[in-house]
Amino acid sequence: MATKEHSLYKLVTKEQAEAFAWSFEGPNTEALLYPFVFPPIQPHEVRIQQTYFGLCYTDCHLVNQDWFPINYPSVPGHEILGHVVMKGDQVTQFQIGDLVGAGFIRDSCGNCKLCIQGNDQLCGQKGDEHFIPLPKFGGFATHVQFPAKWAFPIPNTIPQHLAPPLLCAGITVFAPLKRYFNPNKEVAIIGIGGLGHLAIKFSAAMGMRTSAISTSPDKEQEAKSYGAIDFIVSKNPEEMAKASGRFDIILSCAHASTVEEFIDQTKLLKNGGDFIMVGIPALTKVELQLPFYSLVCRQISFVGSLVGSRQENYEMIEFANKHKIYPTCEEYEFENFKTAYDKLLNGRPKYRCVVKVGNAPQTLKQ
Amino acid sequence: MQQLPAHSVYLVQESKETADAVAYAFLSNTGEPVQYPYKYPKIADDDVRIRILFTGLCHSDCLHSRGLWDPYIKYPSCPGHEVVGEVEKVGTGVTKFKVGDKVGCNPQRWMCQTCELCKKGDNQLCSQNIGLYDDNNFGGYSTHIQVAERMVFRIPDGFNDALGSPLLCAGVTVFAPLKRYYKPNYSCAVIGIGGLGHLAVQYAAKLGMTVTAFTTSKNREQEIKKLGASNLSSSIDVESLKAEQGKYDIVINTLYIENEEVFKSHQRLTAPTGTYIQVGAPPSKVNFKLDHAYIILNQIRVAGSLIGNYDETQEMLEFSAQNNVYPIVETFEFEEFPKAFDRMEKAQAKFRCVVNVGKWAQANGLWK
Repeated sequence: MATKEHSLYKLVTKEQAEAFAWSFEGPNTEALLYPFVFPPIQPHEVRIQQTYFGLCYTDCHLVNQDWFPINYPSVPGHEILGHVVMKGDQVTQFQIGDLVGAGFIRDSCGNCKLCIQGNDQLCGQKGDEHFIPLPKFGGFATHVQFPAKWAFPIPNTIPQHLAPPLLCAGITVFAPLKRYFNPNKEVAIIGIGGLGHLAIKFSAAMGMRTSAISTSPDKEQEAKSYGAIDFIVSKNPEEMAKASGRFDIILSCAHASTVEEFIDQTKLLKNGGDFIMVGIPALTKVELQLPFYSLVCRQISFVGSLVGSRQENYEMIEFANKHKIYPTCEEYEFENFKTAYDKLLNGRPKYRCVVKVGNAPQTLKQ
Repeated sequence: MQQLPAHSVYLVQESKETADAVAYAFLSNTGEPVQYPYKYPKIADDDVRIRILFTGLCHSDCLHSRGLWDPYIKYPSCPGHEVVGEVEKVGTGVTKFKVGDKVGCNPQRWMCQTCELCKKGDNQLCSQNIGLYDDNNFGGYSTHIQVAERMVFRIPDGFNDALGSPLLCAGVTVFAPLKRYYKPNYSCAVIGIGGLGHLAVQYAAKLGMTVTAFTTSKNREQEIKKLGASNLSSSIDVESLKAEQGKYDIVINTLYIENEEVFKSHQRLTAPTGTYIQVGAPPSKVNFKLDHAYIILNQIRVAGSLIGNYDETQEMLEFSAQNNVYPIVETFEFEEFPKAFDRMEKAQAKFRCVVNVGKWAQANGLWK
């Protein structure tokens, strides 16, 4: 049981709890059950009782302070799915009982240049309120409370036990694929994991000729079942040499483990091509670099992408629904959260861990 | 006069009397270039032979002829890829140009026009691309140059020949990416106010952007503002660079700085959703370190750029003539080629060296 209390979420007894979270009291520690009550709901907020939620490696990076120091206790989690059970007075777009999802972004100001231009995920005006997983409580809980603006209606045709990872992994790959889309482009997806397997599905469904690049030869059948027209084993120098200069777009969904591996990945790009970067590795990992000669004389670009805007989220949900694009998930009960988290941190889930909340809010009170 | 070595293509002559042209060529990776009279073996059907009026000197010429890029280059080596001249002779199949036309050459001598990149318009990335100078071809350090018509540019009316030759490399190198990524309301950072940078400031300002010049030379404020910069800031002071973080929609870096923290601060000048353009390259096998966290969190583009394609080069020439964008040059006589090269090699030139080739060529009977 948790002992460290968060200033906003009063730690109470199980019987008194409105909600239960899994909280971390320090880096590299086990999650502890945190029964709590919410602060009063704000006029622009909704409270969601989750049906299922997803786990993302970013949550591990945050908890373990891989990028920057954080305050504890921490309840991360940012692949949220559930029903609206409470809403503030100013919330008009949702009714109690609506099924909604949410991802990494908690809030945006709506008035700055980035917001007005449609890049509200990049809004810099919201300080501590910008992200869902911290410093306020995020999705590793039975309930989450956050601005309605960043809740997205989820159609009931999307299986709920598969939906949560779309709200982070899904949007992370959908947004840049759409942004750089062209029907004539050759696309390579590097890494067939949580992000990569969804990227292949989205890219192929968009009509682009999509190839999968993996360290594992045994993923070929699977990649092709998602719509990949070709499969390249990155540890095979002949295959990599043959694919040199082939792709207009590379979407990297796996971290290179050495500088040489990264440089080899960039060689697959056509002159003038775009290498899309979405994953931020731990600071101690490989520093991404390539010869000046390659960057300048081949005129290649590295473009970053951070989840997606609200508009891009709406489009992604609609697109996934229409094309039945769902992640492959491993499901865990709420009470077994620690097992799910450990699998993510130390194991190799295939491909996303999802936790079923179910009746936990009632059963945990006993 | 020393015995000159033979060349694989050009027929070396004992004197300029029998020559089609006189080059300044390097005979080894050290020492000064020397006069090298030669005849062309032939003029191909699609070739244009050009009387060079002015040649610009580019630092790439050093990196090539001193063997710094490729230690196994062949000598004699005649570099130079910033040429303004007039047509002297055309091959039988040439249709785009006639004798007397004012023309220019950029650093590329050949594009295949059939590969995907050429068809898309990016001929500078063509896999069959040949540089204006290499082991087999003499460049602009000469009274003449002979190039296939597909890579010859029309010099627009009103163009300042005496000042304009450096535009064919330095000019297009900054104009093309600025034009590719800019919007007129953008704020623009130009890092490094030297040969490339002082042109980038002018182009960016004429394109309508607000320009901040990042430089170490605070004492040149007046002069840099006259080129079109609204503000100056330090290119190497980390605290000052941090204060400018995220402010510029388009950043063009003409430098390479060894200090990693400074170099990351250059990338961090880029505003969210903006573009950082790298054109400055170091001489040795150095890696560009990507600030990937910043790139992802701010959704920026870090782009390399190489000269420009044919259309971008032609457009640059016209834009420069219409908007009066020219480099600040130091001009030398033909026989001062070694002196000009030395000044450029030591990075002392302000800002580009140009050789008045035509004057000597005409006076010495080489316009035949």
